[in-house]
Amino acid sequence: MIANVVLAGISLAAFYFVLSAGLSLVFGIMGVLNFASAGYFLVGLYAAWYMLGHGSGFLVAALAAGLISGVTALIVEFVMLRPLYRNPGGQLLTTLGVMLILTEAVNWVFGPQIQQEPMQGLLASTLPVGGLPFPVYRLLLIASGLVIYLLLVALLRGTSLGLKVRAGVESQTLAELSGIRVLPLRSLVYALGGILAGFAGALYGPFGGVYPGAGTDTLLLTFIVVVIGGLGSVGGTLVASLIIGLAEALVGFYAPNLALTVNVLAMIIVLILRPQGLLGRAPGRRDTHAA
Amino acid sequence: MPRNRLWLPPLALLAILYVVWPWLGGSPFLVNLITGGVIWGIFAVSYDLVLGWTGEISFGHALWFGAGIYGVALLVQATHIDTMLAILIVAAITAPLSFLVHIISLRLRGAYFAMITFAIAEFAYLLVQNATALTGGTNGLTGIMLSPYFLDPNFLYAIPAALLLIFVLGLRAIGRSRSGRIVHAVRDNPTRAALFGHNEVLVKGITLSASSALAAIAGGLYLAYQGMAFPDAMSSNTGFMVLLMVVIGGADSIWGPAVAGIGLYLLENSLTSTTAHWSLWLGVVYVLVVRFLPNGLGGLGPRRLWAPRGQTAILHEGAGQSRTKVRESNLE
Repeated sequence: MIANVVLAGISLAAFYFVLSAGLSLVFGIMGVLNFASAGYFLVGLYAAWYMLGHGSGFLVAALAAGLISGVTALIVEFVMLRPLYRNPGGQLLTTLGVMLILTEAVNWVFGPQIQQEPMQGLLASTLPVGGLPFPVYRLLLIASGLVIYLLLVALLRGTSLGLKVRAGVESQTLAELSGIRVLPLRSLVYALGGILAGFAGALYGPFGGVYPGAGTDTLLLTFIVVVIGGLGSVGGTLVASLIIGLAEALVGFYAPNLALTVNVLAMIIVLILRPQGLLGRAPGRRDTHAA
Repeated sequence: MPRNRLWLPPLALLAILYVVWPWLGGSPFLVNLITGGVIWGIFAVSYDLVLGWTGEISFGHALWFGAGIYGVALLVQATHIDTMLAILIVAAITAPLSFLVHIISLRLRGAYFAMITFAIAEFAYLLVQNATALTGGTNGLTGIMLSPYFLDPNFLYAIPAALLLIFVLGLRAIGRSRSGRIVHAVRDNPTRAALFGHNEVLVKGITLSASSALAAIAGGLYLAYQGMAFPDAMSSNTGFMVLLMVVIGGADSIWGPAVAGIGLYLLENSLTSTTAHWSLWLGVVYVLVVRFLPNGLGGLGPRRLWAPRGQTAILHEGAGQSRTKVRESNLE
């Protein structure tokens, strides 16, 4: 039985990782807490649901969802965020607006009701794990999380583009002085954040449901994961996802109402004691000016 | 009468007209609607102290609104004291509590401060939802014994308006006073203010605690207005909504958020029946305001009238850069 719960926790963790990795990277390079991520998540969720309902396979639908969200994010970055380049407060407020607009737009087009995600075949079946049925779909979640993690690491560690991104995360000024054009890099990472959020949206449908409030419902969890992992750190996001996923599965197994409360409390404690997160390096502390 | 007091007579006339209007045949529906709007106006003014005066972005202001709602509800339920007295007591308790919470939160800056305020508010929201024995959980608290004057819709309509007027005039006076200038100096350049002996965390902590007390008063009035307490009133949506109101109204002008708070509440509650997509347009207007009108409504109109102390737009290009600049110059 515990094996089943632990496996469920790991699958949740994989989902949280996909959900949060983009937000973490975007914060790393742009310094923007990207509320709009919840909007791209929602766009991906509905795009995948729509395609599944029209006869597409799950993987194709999920990849297309990521692409659509990525394009949405790219447009938003170009039209709304770029003009506010030197105004982090304005960018933060704008991303909140984008989240509200996308949520409302989805509500308008598809209606407020919960939609049924059409799942059939292997993905709708279960396997016995620890004496209880375990959905095969959750194994797909674990595989997706793993693949995305490896792809991100390969991109960041193995390519020259990744080197530039890491340089930008480390110090924007130094990167610019070394001849890296940071502006297109920001657009690129922002679009990547959109793709990851959209893909996460597609993954969410089959186990979380398809409804307009899904974006804002998962927003808090995203924040918890990136804060605990450390904003800007992919490895930290992975570790934090595992902690939060397992905590949610285990606490939720014994006291379903407390799972989220415990995680929020963990986030508050980490923010107070170690604002840079477990593996992050960006200092979140205020410079204190003693009187 | 000095020239800068010329607005007093028309304002007084307007206030009298406002108060007697229900007796002159104002429709009960509108009276009720405006009451809600004015209460949200107070809430928006309280958030202007956060965004406008401290320059910090908090996503957790709904917590203090909720503290007012549930604090007053529980206090009145337990002791049956006068409702207005209960509102004042709850505000007085909220202030030091908020000071404590913010002294800890203010150790973080920028996005981190935004996130810890969000997390603390969500934590409180979850607690209220789950502490069923005390708060009634998602069913809320109903049947609260309000004082008789709050049951008369015309008094319920007049009291928040009087308070809003006092708060707007008072806060604008405080903003121009020595203390107000210190608060603004700390916002604009914490390092320089520190050199003059003003501790950033302390100054901002005091401002934020005053802001929370005002939000609690708004919450208490909202309880009197609704007659019951529901956890939804302290959800993150409430926190986002008040932020939108202050940005659209214009941070740091005090009157702007008051007008935007009333106006947006009225629009929301009259338009949701005609267009279901009011929030979409609100979001679009909000994003445009952030981009093109960093001073919001408060930035419109003749500057001499509305911005007597040389307002700085906190959302301008370069805002919030001073800390980094200082740090870089230290390295030289």
